[in-house]
Amino acid sequence: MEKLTRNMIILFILMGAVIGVGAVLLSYFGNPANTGICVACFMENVAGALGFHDNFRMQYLRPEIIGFVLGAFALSLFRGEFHSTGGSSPLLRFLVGMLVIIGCAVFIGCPVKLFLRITGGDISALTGLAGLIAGVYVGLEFIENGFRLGEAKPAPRANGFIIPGVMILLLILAVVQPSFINQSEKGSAAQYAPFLMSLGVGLLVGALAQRTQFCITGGIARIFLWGPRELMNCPRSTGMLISICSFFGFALAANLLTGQFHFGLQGQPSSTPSYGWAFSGMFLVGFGSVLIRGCPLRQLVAAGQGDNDAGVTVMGMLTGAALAQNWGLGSTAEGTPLEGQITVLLGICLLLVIGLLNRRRGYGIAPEYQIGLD
Amino acid sequence: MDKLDKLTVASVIVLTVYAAVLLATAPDRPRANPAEQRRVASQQYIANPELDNKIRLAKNLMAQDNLDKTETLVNSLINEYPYRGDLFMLRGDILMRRQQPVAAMYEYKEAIELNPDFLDKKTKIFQGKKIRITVEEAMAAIESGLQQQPGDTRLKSDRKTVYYMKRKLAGSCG
Repeated sequence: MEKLTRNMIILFILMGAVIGVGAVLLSYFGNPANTGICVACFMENVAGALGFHDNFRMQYLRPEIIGFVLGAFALSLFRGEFHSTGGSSPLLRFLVGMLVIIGCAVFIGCPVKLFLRITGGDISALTGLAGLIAGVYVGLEFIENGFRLGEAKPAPRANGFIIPGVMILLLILAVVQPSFINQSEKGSAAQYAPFLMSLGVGLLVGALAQRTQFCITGGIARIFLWGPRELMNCPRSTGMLISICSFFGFALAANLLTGQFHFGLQGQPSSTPSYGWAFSGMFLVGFGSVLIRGCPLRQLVAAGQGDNDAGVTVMGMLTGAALAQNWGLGSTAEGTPLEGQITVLLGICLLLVIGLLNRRRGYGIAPEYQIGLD
Repeated sequence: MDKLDKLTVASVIVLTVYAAVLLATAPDRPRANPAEQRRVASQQYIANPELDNKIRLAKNLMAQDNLDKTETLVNSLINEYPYRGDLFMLRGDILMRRQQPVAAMYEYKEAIELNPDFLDKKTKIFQGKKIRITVEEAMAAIESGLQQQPGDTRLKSDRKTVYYMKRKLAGSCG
C-alpha cells in the first residue's frame, strides 16, 4: 500500500482548490449563479445545442464538459494511464446514467453543484446532501452484499478514443458555430463565462480529477465503507476526503471574497421549495452513482481515460438530460412537477430492481469495485 | 431471499404504491407539455402594431397620473390579449403607483410566468430591479400584517408567493 506523501496531499488539496475556485470564478464571470460547474445543467445545455430538445433557453455547447473529458484524456495519455476497457454491463450503465441526470434535474444540480450551492449559502441544499448520503449508503449496501456489473475487459484501443473524439468534434463545432448548432440568446444558457476561461477550467479540472480520481459520491462511499479510523489508513480514501474538504473550503472562501455568498433558506438561485423531492432526487443520484462507480463528473473523466463503459454512461446522461427537458421533469422555483416526482420514485424502484437482479448472494464486494480501494 | 432482498422488495412495493397514489390523487390540470408551453409563450414576440400603440397610450396616461383610465384600458387589453406579459407588467405598475405592492407582485408574477424575459438581463425588456423592489415592499407589508394577525392564512400564502418571486429573481440553470 502506497503512503500518502506530501506531494500527494498537495495534489489532493490542489484538486479541491481548482474545482472550488474555478467554479466560483466561472459564476462570477458569467455562468449562472451557483452554477459555475454543474455536469447535469451543462449536459442539458449540450443536449439542447445538439437539437435533442427545443428549450431555446437551454442550448449552449458548454466548453467545461468538453474540457473535463479532454483534460483527462490528455493527462492519461501523457502518463501512460489511458487504457481502453469495456464490457461491464454497458446498457445497464446507460440506463443508470439517464436516471442519475434526471435525479439531478429534480434536485436542480449535480453533486458538484450541490457543494457549490451550500458554499454559496443555500441551506436548502442541505436536504440534497442528506439525500445524496442516504443514496450512497443504500448503494453501498448492495455493493457490500455481492452486487456486480461484471469486470471490464481490455477493449481495442481505438474504442477508447471515441468519446474524446466526440468531444474534439464538439470543440470544433463550438468554435466554428455552424448554423445547425443551437445557441441560446436568452435564459440560463445565454449566461456563460468567456469561452477560453471555461475551457481552461474544464481542462484543469479534468486533468486533476484524472490524476486524483476525484469523485464526490466515491469520497462519501469510502467513509461508509471503511469507517473513520480505517479511512485514515487508506491514502486514496484520505486523499479523496482532503479534495472534498478543500473543494468546500476554497469554494466557500471564493464565494465570500467575490460577494456571491448569500446565506439563507429563501430566494436562493436554482432552488426549489420541494425539499422532500430535492432529497429524493439526490438519493437517486447517490444510489445510482455508487452502482456505476462514480458521480457524473467522474463518468466524464473516466470516459476521457478510455473507459468505454463510462462513455456509454455519458451517452445515457446526455439522453437523460434531453428527456428531463422534453418531458419537463426538472424542479423549478415553483416546485417539482408530478412527472418529476413519479420519475424519481420509479427511478429508485428501478435501481432497487437492478440491485436485486445483479447480486451474487453470499459474496462480498465484487472485484470491479475493489479497484483503487487500497 | 436474504434480508436485503426482502427489504428491497418491500421498498419497491411501497414506492410503487406511493407513485400510484400520487398519480391517482393528482388534481386534473390541463397542462400543456413544455414544447406547447414554449409555443404559447412565443406569441409574446409576434409583432402587433395596434397593440403597441394602445400600450403606448396606456403608458402616456399613467405618466399623466390618470390611473383610472389607464386601468380601464389595460384591463380591456388583458381581456383581448391574455397571453401578453407586458400588459400584466403595466397593471403591476398601476398598482405600485397606488402603493399596493402585494397586489402588484401578483401582477408581476403573472407577467414573468408569461414572459420570463422580464427577469433576463440579456434582454431589452429586463425589469428585474423594479420587480425586486416591489417584492421587498410586499414582504415588508406582509411581515407587518403578520405581526398584527399572526394566524392570517391569506398573508401566509402571500409570503409563500414572495419566496417564490425571490427564487425567480435569483435565477436558475433550468
